[in-house]
Amino acid sequence: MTLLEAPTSWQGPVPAMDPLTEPYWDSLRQHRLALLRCRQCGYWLHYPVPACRKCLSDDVEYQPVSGKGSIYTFSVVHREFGIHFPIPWVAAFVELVEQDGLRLPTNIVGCAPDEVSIGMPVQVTYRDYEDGLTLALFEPDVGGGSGR
Amino acid sequence: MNPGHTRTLRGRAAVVGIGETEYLRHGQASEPEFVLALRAILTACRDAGIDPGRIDGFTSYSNDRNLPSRLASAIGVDELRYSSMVWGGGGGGVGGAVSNAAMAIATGMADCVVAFRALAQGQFGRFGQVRAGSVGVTDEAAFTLPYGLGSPAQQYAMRFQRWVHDHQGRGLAAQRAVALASYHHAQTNPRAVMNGRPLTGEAYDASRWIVEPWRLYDCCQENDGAAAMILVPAEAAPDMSDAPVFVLGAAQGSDGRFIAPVHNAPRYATANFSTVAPRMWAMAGIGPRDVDCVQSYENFTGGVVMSLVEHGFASAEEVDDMLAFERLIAPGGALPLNTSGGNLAEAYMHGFGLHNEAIRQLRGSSCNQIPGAKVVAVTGGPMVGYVSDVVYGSEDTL
Repeated sequence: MTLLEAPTSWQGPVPAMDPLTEPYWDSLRQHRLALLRCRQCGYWLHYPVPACRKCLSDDVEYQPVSGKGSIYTFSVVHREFGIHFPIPWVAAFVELVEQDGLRLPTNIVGCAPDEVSIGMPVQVTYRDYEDGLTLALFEPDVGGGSGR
Repeated sequence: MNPGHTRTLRGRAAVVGIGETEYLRHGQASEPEFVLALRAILTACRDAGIDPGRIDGFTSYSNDRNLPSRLASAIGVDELRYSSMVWGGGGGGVGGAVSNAAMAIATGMADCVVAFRALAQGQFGRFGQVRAGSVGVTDEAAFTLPYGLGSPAQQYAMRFQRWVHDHQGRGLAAQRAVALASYHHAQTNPRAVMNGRPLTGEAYDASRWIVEPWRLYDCCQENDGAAAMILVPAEAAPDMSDAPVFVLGAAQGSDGRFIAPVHNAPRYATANFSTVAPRMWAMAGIGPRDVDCVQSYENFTGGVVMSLVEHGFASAEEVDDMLAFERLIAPGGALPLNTSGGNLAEAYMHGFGLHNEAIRQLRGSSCNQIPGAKVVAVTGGPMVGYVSDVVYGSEDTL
């Protein structure tokens, strides 16, 4: 059985850093997953935005999340599309346990492609690349219990 | 406000000319894209029987590179009075380009508007390709491109995958039928790039995966070419054409909760017609049962399935029966679909070929003619952040 794996080196696009998004990428580099959250109403915000979508407060800060969630949707992809992934690879949106609809674009690793399913419990894992880029991927949560 | 005026496009503008270049595989055009655009526009002028100098407006979409000022100069336009662009990638704006032309005519901004799209991907690079190694991506792309989510293929495959999940596995048989119907219709269409290349169910089933749940034949082609359509005021049309075709209804835009904040949207697994389709039907004063055939934009077949459901042509519960192959085939099917071969098998002019095919059906000149066709609906751009619809009718539907 061939397990899904991330690229060994990164040749794809890299994110630009700005004051709003840099703390997110910094947290990944420390193998922590932190997302922007409204300090007034507690709503999690991803992708990062300068003010809360729910209450419009600009009192927002990065806070750690559990890194546990479930697969909201996915696709087993059989082409590179310009990025050097081992084929096949899995594109996915993972919905975190912290909030309904709090979804992260990511890739699934550590299981076979035909084991991936919607609703599958997953947990975050990290891959470090050149030039200080760390990506947050997700793998099956063997402890389970975080499926939604 | 003048109570005698209803705010509608219904019956205000008519299509009197259509044209296209030869359709080619991507990168095969031997002429520049600008020349392709001119050829399609001039062909549409000949079809309409008008001097190109009479054109006074241009509309397009998907950030078309061929500027109206250049086009107007090249074809000898006497006076340029109007131009508009529907922003955004892909073909979500194709119906918007047509309805913007109709709006300009209905409001007296222009009298003879050409809507068009031109593509030469050898000259300008392939549409929608991720540029590997590009540095410093910003905004949403900063969070999607590093995970490979750069192509529409992955993004939309995940939408349909979720739709199938939400509907207990339904929709996969329907999307197979959509692919087979398009290829079936292309076999009688000499313009179709896939003419002479029929697709069997066995070949579909054996074809390679691209992005699950989509195989090779679920994905649109990439092509070079151009297509154009000329619209004039409804009252001018009968003198210009034996079979003028009228815009009965149109709508463009998006469900606000579909677009923001993109993939965290509550209405994720849709084709994004939940607001646009009802507005088109309301303006036209008709519904899906009144339509003789439908031309539904296929970037990917699953998007057509969701589109047809959202337009009321099928229910999600019965989608695989209602969108069975036999029902999608002209002339005898209950809901003939993409009767030119569409984006899958005629050519991917970002949906413009679907509009020209609607006109042919209503003129009685389709390669897969539905006898007596009076109403044809055209959907544009499933699953993108800005979509657009037009429903056309023959003179006796006014």
